[in-house]
Amino acid sequence: MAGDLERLLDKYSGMMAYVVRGILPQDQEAEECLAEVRKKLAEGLPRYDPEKGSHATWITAVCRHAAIDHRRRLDRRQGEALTEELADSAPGPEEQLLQRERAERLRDALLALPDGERRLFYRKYYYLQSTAQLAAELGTTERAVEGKLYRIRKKLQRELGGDRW
Amino acid sequence: MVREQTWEQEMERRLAGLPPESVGEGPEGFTPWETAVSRILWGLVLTTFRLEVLYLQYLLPLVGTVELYLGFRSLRRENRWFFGCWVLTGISLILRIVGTAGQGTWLWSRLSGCPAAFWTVAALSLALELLRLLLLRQGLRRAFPGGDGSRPRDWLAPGIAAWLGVAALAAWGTAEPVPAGGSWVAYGRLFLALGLFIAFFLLLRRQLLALSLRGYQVTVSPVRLSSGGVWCLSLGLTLALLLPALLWGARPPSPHGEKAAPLSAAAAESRENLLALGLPAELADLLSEEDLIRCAGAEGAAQTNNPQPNHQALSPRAEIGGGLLEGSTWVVALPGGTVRFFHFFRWLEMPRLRLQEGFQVEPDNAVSLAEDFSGQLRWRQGEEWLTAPLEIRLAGGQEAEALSEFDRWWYESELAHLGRLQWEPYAAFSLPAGGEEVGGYLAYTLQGSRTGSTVNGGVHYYHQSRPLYPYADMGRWLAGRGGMGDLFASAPYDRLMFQNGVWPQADG
Repeated sequence: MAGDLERLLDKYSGMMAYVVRGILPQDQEAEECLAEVRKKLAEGLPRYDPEKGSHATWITAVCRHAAIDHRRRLDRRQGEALTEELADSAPGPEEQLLQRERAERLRDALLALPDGERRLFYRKYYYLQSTAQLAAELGTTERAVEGKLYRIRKKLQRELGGDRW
Repeated sequence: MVREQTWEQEMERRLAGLPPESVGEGPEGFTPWETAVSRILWGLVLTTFRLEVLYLQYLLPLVGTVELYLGFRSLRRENRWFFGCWVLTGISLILRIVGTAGQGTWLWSRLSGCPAAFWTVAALSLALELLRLLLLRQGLRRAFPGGDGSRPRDWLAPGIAAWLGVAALAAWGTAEPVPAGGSWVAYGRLFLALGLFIAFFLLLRRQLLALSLRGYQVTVSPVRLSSGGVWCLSLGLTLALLLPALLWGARPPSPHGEKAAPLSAAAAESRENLLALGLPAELADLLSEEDLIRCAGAEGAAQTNNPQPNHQALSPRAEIGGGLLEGSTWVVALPGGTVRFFHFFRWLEMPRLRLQEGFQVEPDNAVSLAEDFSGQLRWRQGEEWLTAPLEIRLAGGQEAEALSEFDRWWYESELAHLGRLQWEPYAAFSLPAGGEEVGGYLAYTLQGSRTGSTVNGGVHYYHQSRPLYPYADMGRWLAGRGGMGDLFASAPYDRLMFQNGVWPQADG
């Protein structure tokens, strides 16, 4: 098991650092977060189910979750406004159905986007990469990225029925 | 702004439950280098493969070079090999833009028609491409170490070998379009080149796949000009250079005119004699001093006419390119039984465009080999009359050994009578800028005549009526008899064709 973990960390260390640093650009914060991620991976590896997704998928999700949590803790320490969090109480059946429907609609709307726009959207809102990072990696300017994100947003709002979705 | 922030927070929350895999995007696809390397690989494909249809052979390499530039621009700070690629691609982008526009000019055509210049440029271009491929390979191997420090699998080395194979076959195909072994070698060469190109493409793709889960530490450089801006600049510059190239660069230099000198006494006497024999004054004015002296003692002069009603479209006047052109043929009987043919043309109204003109004559092949060729242009520049000799070149004249079996059979009687095919003199020139009332002629001598018989052969005047891309040399086309597969055969030109009709009687 330890060997498996070592192999996973060897293989995906670059990807892990990439995902975490997109959300936590400061070196110290990123290193702290990566240490937490390695601990979570060690704890979670015995329960990992390959049916639910690849190793890369699982590790990416753990990295993202850990980095967002780490950022929230930082924001609280620095006294910034809390970002909205999910309610602790489990949603009722009606709410669950509504959430599933919304998720399906959002998924369909995302699938309708061209590949490049969809990837940009995920970079921005899933991997939480900054506009500067997006611009550099896409070989364009920040203004061009903002323009593209604005157009994607408008498309999705039209698909999903305006702001009230 | 608040609404926007709420929307963004909501998106972040919702996407937590919709990881990339739920929409078919694996995490391996999100890397710092994906866009840059994809651009580079597509750029390599587009600049290597040549598709000779719908002007794609010009457009795709330009598109490919811009993609290469954009790709290397992002990676220029990662290592010195990528920086070198970026510099080389910047240079090749400028050369590509200039070359794309330049192919609409006569100068480019002259350069490509000069083997030394052509092969030098081709060799430098290939060397540049090869150097860039080698730098790219080195850059990839340095920038994408694995977690254990290993380098990615090297698919680019065999890819470069395939590319060299394609380049070698292309060079062979250019140097020897139909090899000595016949057409099966040509087909084999084509299929081999296609196979190597496909191998090149597949190896490039494999190299991209081999970079998966690597290179997350690659440094991508921020840019000041968006990729759209680079596209607009590249295409805009190409168009800005292309327009003047087509309108002004597609016009070969006009002949240098000199003020028409007064005729010598002998030439003046000969001119008077020709006028007395019936040659119109406006045509006699076109003749050079030398041709007037050749015609000294002329015994007769007559215009050939077009008696056969089944010879269509043989009007001596035609509206061409917004102008009015007139043509005529005169035969002058000289002492000693020789005849001198004069094929005249005159622009009664000048055409809209002055790009390329061609004047080609097919002398009668039943008398003797045409010889002693000459010609002149004459025009009015302001208040002055200027003249310039027409540069006469010869097409035709092949001996039997140089002909195919079919052609030897087709031209059997001509070969038997003349010993070779009849010469076909032609001149390719441009109308003088600002010149009015432009006229000219092409002349040659035949030993003997065929009084009362139909004149074999024809006269053709070609006027390029609109810009052509790429530039096609009228002279080169006329030299090759303008076969159906020739580029200029589909070029926009007007033609005045006037057929020699009947050999005049001996007394004109």
